Amino acid sequence: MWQRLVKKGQAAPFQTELAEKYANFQRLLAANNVILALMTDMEEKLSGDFIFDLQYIRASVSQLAEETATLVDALNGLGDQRYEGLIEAFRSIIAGVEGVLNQRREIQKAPLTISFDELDLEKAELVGGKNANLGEVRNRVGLPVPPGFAISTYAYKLFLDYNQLATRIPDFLGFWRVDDMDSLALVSDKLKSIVNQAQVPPELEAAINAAYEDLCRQEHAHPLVAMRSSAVGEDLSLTFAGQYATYLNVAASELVNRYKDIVASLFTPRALFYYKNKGFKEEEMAMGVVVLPMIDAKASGVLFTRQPEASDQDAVLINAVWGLGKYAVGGVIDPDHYWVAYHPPGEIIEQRIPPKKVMLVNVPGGGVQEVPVPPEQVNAPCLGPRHLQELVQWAATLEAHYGRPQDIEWALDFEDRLWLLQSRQLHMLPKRAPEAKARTLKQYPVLLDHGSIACRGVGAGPVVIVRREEDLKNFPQGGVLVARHTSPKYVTVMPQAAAIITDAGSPTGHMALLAREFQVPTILNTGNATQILQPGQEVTVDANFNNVYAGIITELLEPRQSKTNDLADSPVFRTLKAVLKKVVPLNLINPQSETFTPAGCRTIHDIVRFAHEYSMREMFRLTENEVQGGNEIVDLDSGLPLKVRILDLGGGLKRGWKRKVRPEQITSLPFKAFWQGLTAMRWPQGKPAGAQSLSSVFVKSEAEVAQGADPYRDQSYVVLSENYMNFSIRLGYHFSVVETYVSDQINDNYLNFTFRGGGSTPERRERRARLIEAIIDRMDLNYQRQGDTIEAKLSKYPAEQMAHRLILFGKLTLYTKQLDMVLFSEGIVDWYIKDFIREHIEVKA
Amino acid sequence: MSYQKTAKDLMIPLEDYPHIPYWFTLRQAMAIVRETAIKFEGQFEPRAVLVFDEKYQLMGILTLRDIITGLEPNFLQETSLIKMDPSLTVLMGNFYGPKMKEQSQRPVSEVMSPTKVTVNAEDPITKPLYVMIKENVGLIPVMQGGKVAGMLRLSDLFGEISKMVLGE
Repeated sequence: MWQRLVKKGQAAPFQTELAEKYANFQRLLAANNVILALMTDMEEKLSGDFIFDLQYIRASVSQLAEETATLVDALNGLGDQRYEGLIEAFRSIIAGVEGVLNQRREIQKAPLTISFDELDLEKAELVGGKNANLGEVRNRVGLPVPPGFAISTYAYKLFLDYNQLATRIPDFLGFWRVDDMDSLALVSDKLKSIVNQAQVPPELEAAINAAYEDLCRQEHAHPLVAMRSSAVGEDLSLTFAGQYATYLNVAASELVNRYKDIVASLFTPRALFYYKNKGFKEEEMAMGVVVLPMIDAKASGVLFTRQPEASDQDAVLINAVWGLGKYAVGGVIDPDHYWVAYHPPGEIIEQRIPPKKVMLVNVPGGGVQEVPVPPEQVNAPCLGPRHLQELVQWAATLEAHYGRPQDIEWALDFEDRLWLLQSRQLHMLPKRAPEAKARTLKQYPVLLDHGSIACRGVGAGPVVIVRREEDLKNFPQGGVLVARHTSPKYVTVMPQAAAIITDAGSPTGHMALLAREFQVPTILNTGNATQILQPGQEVTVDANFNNVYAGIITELLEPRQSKTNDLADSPVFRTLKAVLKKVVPLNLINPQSETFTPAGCRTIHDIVRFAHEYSMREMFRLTENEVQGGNEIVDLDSGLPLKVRILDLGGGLKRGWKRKVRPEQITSLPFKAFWQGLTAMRWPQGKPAGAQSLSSVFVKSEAEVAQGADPYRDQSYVVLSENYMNFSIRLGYHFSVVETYVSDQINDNYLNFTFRGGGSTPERRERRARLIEAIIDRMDLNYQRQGDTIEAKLSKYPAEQMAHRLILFGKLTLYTKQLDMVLFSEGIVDWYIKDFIREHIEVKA
Repeated sequence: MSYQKTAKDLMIPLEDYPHIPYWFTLRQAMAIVRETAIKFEGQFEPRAVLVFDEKYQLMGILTLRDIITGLEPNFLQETSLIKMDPSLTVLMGNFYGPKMKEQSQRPVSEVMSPTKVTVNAEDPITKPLYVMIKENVGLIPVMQGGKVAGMLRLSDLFGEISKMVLGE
C-alpha cells in the first residue's frame, strides 16, 4: 500500500489532495466539538438551574444546524463524497427540529368561565396558572380557598377575535424593533388603548355576569371581588411574576371593564419587551382571569415553605401585615417576620415584630385605601401560635402535594379563619456552583476526590469494573460502573447503573450527554478510578462534589430537596425538551452494528457519532488511497538504522531547502513524543569491529524471512501535521502503524496502534503478541487481538497523557523488535513484560 | 556404542540454547541466564549465552565469567586493593555500590568471547574433546553445512567419558 505512495513517476498534486483531506478532518473535529458543547449546554438548561427563553433555543438550534451541516460536508470532503446519505438524514432531522420550534399551540376551546369547583392543575392551559393552582389547592389538597371562578383563556381568544386583535397585535408589534425603546412605549400605549376601546363580546359579558350570579347564590350575598391576572405561563418564569394587573374590591358593575384592563396589562412595555425579546408567542401569553370574593382581611401575608436562600433548612418563612396583603410584599411597610419550624410544628425559630403604622383596607363601595393601624395593634404580632401552627401545616401539606417549595398568599378574616389566596411555585435561588463550596465529608473514607463531573447527583452501590463490552452483560441493578474510558455503549446499562466513574473522558463527550439524559450521577477523568476501586466494593459516589467514599453513606443518599425546576412546565421548557428529543438520544451505539449507517441516524447525536467514527476510518486509510508519489516527500536524517519518509500536511515540520530533515526540525507534537520513546531505547548499533560472525541454522522460518534481507532496509512512512501523525513503521519484518491526534481539545484526541505482526515460529509469535498485549494492557488502552495482529485504541485523554502513551509506544515498538531473538520461553516473556513495566511504565515522572 | 558417537549426537540444538542479540545489555543477559535455569529446572545450568547479530549469525559466546568481569568489580581490576585487603571483606561494599548497576548497562558485544574454534557435526567426540581442552573453552559451536547447527558443552562430553570409565 505504501509503495503506491512513493511510486516513481510523474509528480502529482497529491500533497494538496492530502492536505485538503486533512483540512476537512480538522473542520470535522471542530464542528464535532461545537456540537457536543451545544448539546451539553442545552441539556444543562433542562436541569432547572438556568433561566432561558425561546430565543435561546432558536439560536442554539440554528447553530446546531449550521455546525452539523459543516460536519457532514467535511466528512464527505474527507471521504470522497461517500457519505451523501448523511445529508439526507441531516435534512430530515433538522426539519423535525424546526417543526417542533414552529409548532403553534392553539388556544383550546373551553367554557368562557369555569367555577373553582371544576379546576385543578390539569386545566392550566384553559384558565392560566393562578386559577389552576387555586383549583388544585381547593379540590385536590383541601385547604380553604374562597369560592370563585375563572375567566378562561378561550374567553381571551374570543375577545381578541371579536375585535380582530389577533391580527392587529402582531402587526403593531412588527413596527417595533427591540433596540428602540421610544417606539416600545408608543406601541405599548397604542395596544393598550386598542384593548381599552375594544368591545367585550356580549356573549362573554353575559357569561361573566352569570358566573358572578352563581357565586352570589353560593355565598348568599353580593360580594365585591378581587380580579387577578392568570396568564398561561405567568407563574413559571421570574420575569413575568407580578407584571400583570390585579384589582381588589371590584364592584359587580365594574367586572367587564376590569377584565379589559387586565387583558390590556399584557401590553405594558415591560411585558412586551419580554414577549418580543424572549421569543414568546401570542398563544403562550394567553390571559385568564381569577375572580374571587374579596376577603375582609384582618391580617394578610405571604408564606414561603422554605427560605429561598437556605432550602435545606426545615422551616417556614411567614410575613404578615394588618389589613390587605398588598402591603406585605410591596415594601410600603416593614411586615412581621416569623421563621417557624416544621418540627415541632409551629415552633418559632425566630421572629421580628416591627411597628406597623398603616394598613390597606377595603372601601365599602369598592376600591381600597390606606388607613392608620389602631394604636393597640401597631406593635402587636399579627399572628398567634394557632395561626402559625395552621400555616405550617398548610406548608407541609402543599410541599408534600406539589413536591416543590411553594410561595403562598394568605388572609385572616375577622372570624379568625385563614384563607389561601394563591399558591405558586417558590422560585429558589439557582443552586450555587458546587465548585465554590466543594465539600468532602472528612468523617468517611474518601477513595477519590477529583475528576470532572458529567452529571450531578449521588449514587451508591457495588463497584462493577467494565473493561470489555462483555462486562456490560449481567450488569447488576444498582451497580456503580467503573471503566477506563467513556463509551456510548454504556447507555445499555444506564437505566440500572447507580453511578458511573471513569479514568478518562470529557463532560462534553457522547457518554456524558447520555448520562445526563438518564440522570446517572457521573464523574469522569479521575485518572485512576479503575486502579483504586475494587470490584464488588461498595461505594458512594457524590457527583455533586467529585467525591467517592467507601461504603454506603445514607446521609448523602437521603433524598435532598426534590428538584426545584422553576420552568419545568413552561412552554419554553417543553419546547426545549421536544427539541432535545430529536437531538440528543443516541441510536448508533455499536459501530459494528448493521444499523450504524447514515440511514440509521435519527438524531443530531447519531450524525455526530457516525461522522466522528468514519472520519477516523477515513484518516486511517488516507495513506492507502490512490495517491501518486511526488517531490514533496522528505527523508528523515536521524542517524539511526531506520528509513523514514515524511509527508507534511502542514505544521508538521520546519523544512529547509534540503531533501532531508533532522528529527529536531519536526514540530509535530505526536511525532516528537513517539520519537522520544523510539530513541530512548538501544538500537542495534556499535557492532564491534572485526567480529567474525558465523552464519547459523537458526530457527528456520526466521532465518528464511531474514535471508538476504537487510532487516532495516525497509522503508517507513509518516504523515504529519502539528497535531496529527500516521506512522507506518517497518523494523525488519515487524510492521506497525501508529495513528494519532493530539491537541488541547480532549474530545479530539485519539490514538490507534496496530501491530501487524512479524515473522517467527507460531510459538514465538504467540509470545510476542502476549508481551505486547500485556504491556498495552498496563498502558490502560482498549485492545483487540487476532492472531498476532493487535489493535489498541485510546481516546479523549488530555494531551500530556496522550504524549506519555506515545513515548511508551515508541519504546514498545523498538522493544518488541529487539526481543525477537530471545523469546525462547514463557518465563523470559514474563520477565520482559515485567522489566518493561518496571523500567518504563511505573516510573512515570 | 560411545566410540561411534559424533559431535552432532551430543550437541544441543541452537534454538534450545539461550541467545541474545549483540546490543543487549549485561543486565538483560543475566535475566536470560536466570530464566533459562528456571526453565530447565536444574537439568541444565547455562554457563553461557550465545550472542547473535541481526541476521542470526553467531558472533560470540557470553560466559558467566565474561558477565562477571564485564561488571568490573573493583577488586578484579585493582590488584593493589587486594594486597591491602587480602580477605576481600572490605571490598564487599563493591557489590552494593552503584558502579555494578551502571556497568550492567554495557552491551554484551563489549565483553563476549569471540568463537575461536568450531567442530563439525560428523566429527567423533574425541575431536571436540581435544579442541576444548587445548583451547581451554567449555563450549564449542558445531557446524553443519557451513552453518552453526548447535552447541557442544564440555559437561556433555564429560558425561560420556564418565559412562565409559564407570562402566555403565
